[in-house]
Amino acid sequence: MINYIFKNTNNSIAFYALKAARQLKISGASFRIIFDKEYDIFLQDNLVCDSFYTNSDRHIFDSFILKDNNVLLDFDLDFSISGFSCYEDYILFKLFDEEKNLDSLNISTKIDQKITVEQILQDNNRNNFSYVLFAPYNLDVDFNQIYTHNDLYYDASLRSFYTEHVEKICSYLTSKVNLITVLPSSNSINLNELSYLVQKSHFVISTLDIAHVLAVEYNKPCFVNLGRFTGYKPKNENVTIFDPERNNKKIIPSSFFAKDFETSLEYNNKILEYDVDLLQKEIINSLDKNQIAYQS
Amino acid sequence: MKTITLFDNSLTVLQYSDHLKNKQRWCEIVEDVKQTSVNTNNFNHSTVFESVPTLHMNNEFNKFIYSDEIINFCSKKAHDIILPRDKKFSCVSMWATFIPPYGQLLPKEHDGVFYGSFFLHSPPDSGMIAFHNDVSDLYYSKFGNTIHNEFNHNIQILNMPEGGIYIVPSFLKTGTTTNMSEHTNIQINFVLDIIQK
Repeated sequence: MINYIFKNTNNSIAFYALKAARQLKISGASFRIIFDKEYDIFLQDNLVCDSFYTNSDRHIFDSFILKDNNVLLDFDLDFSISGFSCYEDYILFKLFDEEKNLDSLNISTKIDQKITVEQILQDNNRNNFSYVLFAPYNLDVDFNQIYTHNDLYYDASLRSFYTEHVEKICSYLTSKVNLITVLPSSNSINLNELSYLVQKSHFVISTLDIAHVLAVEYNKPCFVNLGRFTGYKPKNENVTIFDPERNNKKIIPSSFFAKDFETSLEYNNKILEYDVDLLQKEIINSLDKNQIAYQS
Repeated sequence: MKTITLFDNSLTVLQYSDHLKNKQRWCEIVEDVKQTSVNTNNFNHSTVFESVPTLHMNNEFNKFIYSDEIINFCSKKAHDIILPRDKKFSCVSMWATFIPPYGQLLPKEHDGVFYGSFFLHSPPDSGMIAFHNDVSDLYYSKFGNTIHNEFNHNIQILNMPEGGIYIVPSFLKTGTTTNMSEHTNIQINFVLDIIQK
């Protein structure tokens, strides 16, 4: 049984929580909702009143507060850094997203496409132990036509690696590993080929795009530069998230600190734009963490 | 009658449990190492290739160094030799040895405390491992021409089973017999030393 613990709530939160709880109850899930305050709105609803508790129910609360299957919804700090703009989205994310089981992609690769990929691997073999796939620009695919195997296209507007960084990281990683780059300048790549390439690679560095989805699908260790994307929570342990701007973009400062915040944001952006060392260090740390061999 | 072991020269035999899972990947890695490093074994035998001893710094071999088998061996030996609290076992060097057809690794001593061999790829008839005792041949020749065993001969020759790990004290000279197969035998050799924590 999952326990949803609500902290720092108010009337509108209770209303959205009730809506979500009714939806959960209809789907047949067994759960408890524990609020920090008492709300009549819950007690009046016959469907979910059995699952509703407050902190004052000490005898129940103490017995399961330390268990693993608790989901904490804190509407003070956690909500403010989660990046959600309204309570409803945050509640739905916490109550439903973690239980979703996505279907597998089932992308099949033809023999001639496999030969093309094997040739790419052979061409990039510099005896540096591991194949690392580097796809810095957003690779996009129309999900309605995913099974018709259209070519991928690059969406440069959604990039999260700076162009200068890409060149530097490429030259840095080339000496360390067998780097395979998927760049707009190289030949166009097919979804099937990319799928096979991800399977044959030992590590994937990408933005939050189809390359990352495939890496998670085939359980490959991967490194994601989030850039502008927020609120992404990987289920897989071997995913490394790089998001140095997380704190700057999500915390909303009071007016008193607004000036300092703007200054620090500007300064941090300058660092991120010109200093690629942090990114390189994080990539190497991730390789170490996932025990991927590279030239020291 | 009672026999007391005065000095311990014993060989520890371990079987690496994840051998089949890791064999292909490790063969790829050592092949890359062979392509990019120099042969450090010129003075022992010209045909045998030994890579530079930095393999223990490769992430992929962390799985081997921190495997249950090696950790259990170290904890048992730490108990046997009464290791002080401020010291610990550490793998200080690791290298790959390629014994080509008709190649042979000549016997030699090693640094450190324990010397280990992990048999990554052992084709049939690819030679046997030989341990040499320091006692002179003259002593053992007095026993006459008998069937050789651990009491009457200063060389012990054993099979090299794939996936097996043999660990001996590093003062024993270790080599191999000639590889009579048509394939290369690949071993991973390592040295365990005692270092300050």
